[in-house]
Amino acid sequence: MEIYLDLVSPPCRAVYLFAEALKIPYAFKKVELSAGQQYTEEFGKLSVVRKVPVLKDGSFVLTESTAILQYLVQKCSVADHWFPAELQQRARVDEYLSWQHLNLRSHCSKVFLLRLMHRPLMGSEAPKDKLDATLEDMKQSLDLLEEKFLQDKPFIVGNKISVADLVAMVEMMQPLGVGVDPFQGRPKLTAWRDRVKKELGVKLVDQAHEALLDSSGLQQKMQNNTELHKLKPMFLKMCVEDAAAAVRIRSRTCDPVHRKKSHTEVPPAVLNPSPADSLTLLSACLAATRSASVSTKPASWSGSRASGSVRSNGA
Amino acid sequence: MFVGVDGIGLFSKYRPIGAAVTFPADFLFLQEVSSCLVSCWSAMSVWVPGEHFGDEFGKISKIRKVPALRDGDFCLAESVAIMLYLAEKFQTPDRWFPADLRLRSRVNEYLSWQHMAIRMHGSKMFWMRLMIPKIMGIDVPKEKMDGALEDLNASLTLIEENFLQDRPFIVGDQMSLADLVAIVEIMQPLGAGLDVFEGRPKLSAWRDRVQASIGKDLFDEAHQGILGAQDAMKQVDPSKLELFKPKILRLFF
Repeated sequence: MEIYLDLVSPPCRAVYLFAEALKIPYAFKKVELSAGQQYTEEFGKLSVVRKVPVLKDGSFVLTESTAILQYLVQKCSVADHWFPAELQQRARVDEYLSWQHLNLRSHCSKVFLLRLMHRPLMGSEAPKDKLDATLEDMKQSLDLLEEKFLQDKPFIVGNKISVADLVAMVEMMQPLGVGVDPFQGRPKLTAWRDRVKKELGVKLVDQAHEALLDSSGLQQKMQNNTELHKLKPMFLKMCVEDAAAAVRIRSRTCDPVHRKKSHTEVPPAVLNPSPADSLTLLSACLAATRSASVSTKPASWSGSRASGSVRSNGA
Repeated sequence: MFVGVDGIGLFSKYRPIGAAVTFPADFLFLQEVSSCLVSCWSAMSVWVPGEHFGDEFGKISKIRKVPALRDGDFCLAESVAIMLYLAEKFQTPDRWFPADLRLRSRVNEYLSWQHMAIRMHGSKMFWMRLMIPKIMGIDVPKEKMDGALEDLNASLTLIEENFLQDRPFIVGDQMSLADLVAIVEIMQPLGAGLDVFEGRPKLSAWRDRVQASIGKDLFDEAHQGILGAQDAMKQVDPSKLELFKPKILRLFF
């Protein structure tokens, strides 16, 4: 079994820590993301998605760290607490693993990428208001991790560690790579992290995070990365906006009076900026506009209904 | 408000326009799973706007999103987790979440990938084409729209070339939770008048198979809301949606 990894990537660290801690036999295949190795032809043959981690077990190739973790759990018959068989405990793990993509993972990664890549890609440090907004997003995710997922339990599911804790911990460590400490002022999460480290092995966890915490090394790698330009479109969409356009839009749509008024009226939960909220927000908007009579005949999807085409406008 | 029933309560938008718009995957799966669930479904919460920000919903889910499930004292959020819970609890046919290691991994792989890909990109297009112009009174700048379209195209291409390939369904010969979750997200931009199936015969054929597997009537019922979104939005008075402006600014600008 081969596992393709770059330990600067949190999902890679989750898989690495699990395999190592449970002494699962595998061959570590290094993929240097900062050298753009995910863009080589060879890597493309392994996985067209061009991300890490990737598991290769004989002819079976699997991507997505949470899927890989579950594959290893099932194949290697590990202790039950890692991915409990009991229905409700299993559901708690599934719930966390689903939620974290667009929340903790997304926001911690954004902080990391913004601080690491803005200068090499854009020629200047990230604007303060952009960074502040990203830090605020991260804060809200961390609040939910504490108040909803962890609460007063030692681990997310209960008394024992599971893959949920592993995945959460590696994501939460990511901003440390750019000098942002998400554990600061959070004794509960700090204590939880220490418990997770102890279960996995403190030395192992520290070793897994060496590359991440070598910040001058990271900066150097970024500058030497000949494939850096390939990351720019993603970076622009994920982290950077046309600041001038944003200001224009804000000023047109939110006058000072309204801005102040809406700030006091909007419940805090509304301001959770996860893109996943768009679905919830959408339903709330539509409910607010729902008229008394709703068409009872289902509208079947039909090509004639569509007025635009993805293909003609897209790349 | 929520009518208490014995058994499972699924908090979503019972009213068709809401249910379809929010999480039709759960709705479709529920119907598939068991008739006993259908009787629970019929006593779902009657939604009022913003109800998920209220104290009562907060006791069910601190995440304050739909869908949410309550089974006795057990509350659960996240549609993927809810579907897996239902599949396990009601011992649904194996194909939905196969026991076989590799097949199950393929389902898990898709369910993981889709969050930051088609789910995000499809939803974004829906907002940019329909909701933002209506609520904010502006058109999204062209470069942002083009960028979002490019992302959506990339996701659709990956679905075809990586997840489907030459198979009838994502995992193989039979429909699974992966196809269910995929179809509802792909239908989302359709609600904004964007035909994601045009020029994609493989995806169209897959959609037809999924629709046939679910049953056309059920499929249409679940998507009634999203496909009626354009018409519904025409009747909207934007001033009623002022509440959502700050959030839209945070999400998209």
